[in-house]
Amino acid sequence: MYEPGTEQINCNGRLIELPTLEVVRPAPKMPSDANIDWLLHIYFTRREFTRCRRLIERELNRHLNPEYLYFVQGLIDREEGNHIEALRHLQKSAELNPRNIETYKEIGRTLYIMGRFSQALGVFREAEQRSSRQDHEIYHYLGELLYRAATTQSQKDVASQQQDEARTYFELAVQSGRKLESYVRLAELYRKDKQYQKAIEILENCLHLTPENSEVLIEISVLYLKINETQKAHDRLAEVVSIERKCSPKGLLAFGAILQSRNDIDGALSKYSQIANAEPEIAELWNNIGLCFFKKQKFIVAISSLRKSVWLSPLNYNALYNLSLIYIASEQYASAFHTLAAAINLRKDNAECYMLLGLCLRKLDDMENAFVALERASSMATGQQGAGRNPLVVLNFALFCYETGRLALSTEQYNRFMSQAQDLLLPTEYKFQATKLKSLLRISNQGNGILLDSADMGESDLGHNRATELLPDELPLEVNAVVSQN
Amino acid sequence: MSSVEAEVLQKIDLIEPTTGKLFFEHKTELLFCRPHLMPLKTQALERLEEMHRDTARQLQKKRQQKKKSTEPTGSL
Repeated sequence: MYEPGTEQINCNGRLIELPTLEVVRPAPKMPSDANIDWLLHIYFTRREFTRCRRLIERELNRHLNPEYLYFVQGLIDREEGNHIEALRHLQKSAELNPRNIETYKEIGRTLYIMGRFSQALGVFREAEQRSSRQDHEIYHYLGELLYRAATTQSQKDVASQQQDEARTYFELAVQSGRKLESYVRLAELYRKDKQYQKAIEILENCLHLTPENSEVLIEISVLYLKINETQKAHDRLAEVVSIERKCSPKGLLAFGAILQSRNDIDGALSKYSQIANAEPEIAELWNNIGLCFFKKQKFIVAISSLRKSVWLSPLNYNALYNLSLIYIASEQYASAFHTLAAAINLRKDNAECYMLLGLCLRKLDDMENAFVALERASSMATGQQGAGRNPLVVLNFALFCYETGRLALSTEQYNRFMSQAQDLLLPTEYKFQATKLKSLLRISNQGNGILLDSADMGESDLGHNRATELLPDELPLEVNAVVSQN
Repeated sequence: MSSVEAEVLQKIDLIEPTTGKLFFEHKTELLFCRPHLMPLKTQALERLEEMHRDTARQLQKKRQQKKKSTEPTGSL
């Protein structure tokens, strides 16, 4: 004797009770030869749509329960791209049996494919209310639709509220269904909010389901690179490269970039050559290749690679910055000026571009504009105290002020540089130039002292004698120090 | 003193950064149309166009003459 509600099955890792038969409408009693839903299902799963269509046309008028006929007809129309007919047939199927949640889900999915997102959201909300159990597909689509509504929403409060609701639905989908798409979308939401650690945790949980999914591994490695953990990213990408022989360009690009940041130029170039064989039209690839050749001091090849990158992507800020850097290194200051002007027009709040512009204008003998550019760069660098300190900008401004005779401003900038650079590991060139500037500033101040002493000489003979005695002792030491540093 | 300072002053040079900006991932973005080079016309095509222009000009002159000749007859 069958008792409803007594069986329990393991569904997606969770024990649920089987729904009772009262949930769905009882099927009308028909002779066994009249019910051909099984045959329709066989034809549909074999994707023989012409036979399905003929069978539906023949049986539609004399079938006692045509719900499944309309359902399959709607699915076939959607497969063939006729969304309006599909929607009409699915709505007929929903009218025949309003308690079937699958039909509502298919209606919502059709509306989603058609691009009517607000109506799809309404249909999925109705399906969520009607459904008696937690359905991961409904939660996933609700999260997807709310996320899309949040991105197109103009008001910030409503957008953030919808985004929080989308995250809640994605978490429900992950708990109930454990599907890959829900994990990926939830990680995207956290990444958009710049919560990289949470996104990494979610994708690590996702790896328990699919340990060898290369897309998830690549996404994890990119997130590790965002939080500057190069070793973990390298390990993940090594897994990806070992899993797939023909790795995707995303993974190879990230792997090559890690090798390049570790100054393994030949390894990075071999990875990039693998990408260039498959897809040669990636602007980011040619940008990285240009930087590889820049490290090898091959300026002409680097310039041609970066010009190809700028050709493929004209509004690429990083490529324009790198191209101007290589132009300055190869002493082509006029071209560097034009490239820097383009880069500054793209991002007006970047201090490094203004520093390079000042450096370039100094070589082009335009001292006033060089001073204005370096001053703006220094104010930007000090303004962004919390985000990304850049002591090179301040040091260059100090050196330029000394060179053009602005000693007080140079001293101020030097002190600012020393305060910024206390807890940083600087290259030796920076330290050398800083100590040279320090000694030069000291000499200049002492020169001012000598002038004061010469003013005192006219007053008394004793002062004159003492000044003449002190001078030969102090000056040779400073001169020797400067000479030894050179 | 001033000569030594001048010597050291000439050796001051601004420091250039040695590292550029790397890309770690490839994102899809909107593409621009490429700039196009206008193709040059062949000599035969130039001659054909010139003949067409001359013919059109002659036809226009004939029409104007017909209009001038029909006007006095209309007035009469």
